Amino acid sequence: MLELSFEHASDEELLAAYVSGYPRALEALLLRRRDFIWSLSLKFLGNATLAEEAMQEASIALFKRAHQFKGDSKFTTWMYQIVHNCAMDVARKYRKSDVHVDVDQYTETFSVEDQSDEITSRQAVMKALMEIDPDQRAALVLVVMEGLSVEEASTTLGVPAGTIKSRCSRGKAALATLLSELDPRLSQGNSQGNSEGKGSGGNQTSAPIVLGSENHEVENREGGQ
Amino acid sequence: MNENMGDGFDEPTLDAASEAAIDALLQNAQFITPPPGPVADRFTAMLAIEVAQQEKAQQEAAVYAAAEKVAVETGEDAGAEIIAFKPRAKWIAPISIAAALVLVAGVGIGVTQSNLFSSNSSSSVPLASDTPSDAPSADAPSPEATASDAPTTAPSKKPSASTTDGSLADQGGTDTGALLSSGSTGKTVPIVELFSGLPYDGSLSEIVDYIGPEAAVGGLSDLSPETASCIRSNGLAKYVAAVDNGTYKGKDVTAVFSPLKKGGFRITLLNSRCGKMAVLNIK
Repeated sequence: MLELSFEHASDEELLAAYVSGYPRALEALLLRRRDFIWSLSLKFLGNATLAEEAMQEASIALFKRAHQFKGDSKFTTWMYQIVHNCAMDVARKYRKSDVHVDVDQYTETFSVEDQSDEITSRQAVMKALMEIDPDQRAALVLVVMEGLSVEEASTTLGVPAGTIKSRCSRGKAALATLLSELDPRLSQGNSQGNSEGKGSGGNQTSAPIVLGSENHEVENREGGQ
Repeated sequence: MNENMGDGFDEPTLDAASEAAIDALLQNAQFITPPPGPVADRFTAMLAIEVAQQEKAQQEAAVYAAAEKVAVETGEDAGAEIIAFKPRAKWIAPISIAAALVLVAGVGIGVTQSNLFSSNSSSSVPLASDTPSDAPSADAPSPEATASDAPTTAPSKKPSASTTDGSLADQGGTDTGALLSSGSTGKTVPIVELFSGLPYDGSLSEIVDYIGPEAAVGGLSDLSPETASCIRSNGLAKYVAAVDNGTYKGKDVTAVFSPLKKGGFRITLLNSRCGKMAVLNIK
């Protein structure tokens, strides 16, 4: 009877129900937000295997910390924070073994039928995004892609607003170089320097991303991770 | 976005057109996609496990609180009550199934009290209650009952043994020195009979997991008359923490769990004729 009402409850109501003693309320909430958590993890990590781990860690963290949500920020903002923290934890965990950020795995999550220019462009953008510094990437994902305000991103990432702005600026400069093939405006206007190239994976490159056979090859692989 | 950028720091910046182009590319690359099937399945399973664990913890907490309340009201030792209650929590659910199974399996137990079997076999539904099964028989005995009537020649139990638990404990010949008894209060939580069907000549850890990590001795009032009588006749009435039905060397057995003082259980395996098949000690 209660489960039926889960469907129409807001995220905050489900969270409150969970805190009141209904574990299935949070299960319903996480299933509702599953795609969001997965996609966000994937944007932060660019690797399906790591994203799955981050998704599971984030869910467990929500189970453990739900009672800490005080409602002074939006639930989604809080969720961004948890997913980001878990994604960074997972990245740190695998950094020692120097896990290669496999953008191909990212592209595998799209349907093989999606062969449009838009998808191809998206893959190139995501590939470039995976090549810049993770902190810059996180800032760009939250502010530009997810549409958070600088203040919300600041809260989410736990850094001052100025740092968010700085990271966004640096990240865009880095992307401009990487994506110059994709938009003619980028090859003309990227005249005021680039980021200092501090990508954690050590694989930052100034070579532009070229669309073509590489992506086609990726899309012909089987889905899943 | 542009309005979020650019003031108060010395950073490489793009011209407005390039920045707009990057913004557009990133925004177009925004996506929300479902995870691949196996990932989604694992995620769903993980959530189900987490929820189940939390619900179990809640259930145990509720039972604990209830037991504590009972203990306060009755002035009894709360610890004993709580221990006794804990394993019961997960036993309650299968009772209805167990009662139905006993209809068939119980007939084969072949306890000596023929009056118990002389009643209609279908009237043994309330096996998990105190209701005696000597109701007048209106229907013919079921085929199952006649097929398993062979054990009616099972060894008879000492008539006096069924009167008091205390005397039985000594008459049964069981080494009870190391066992925990129900104490002198006589107020114990009723034992619920389990029907795990697990092999007692196999891995006992699975059985212990099923029974629960700890148990306290309880009363026999909720057991079927046959099982209760069988336990009494073996001198175990004061030392029963759990009763389960499983197999041993391919034969159906009733396992009587008696907690040992030093921890663990002594499991007395009784065959369908109420005879001892084996005694196992597990820690």
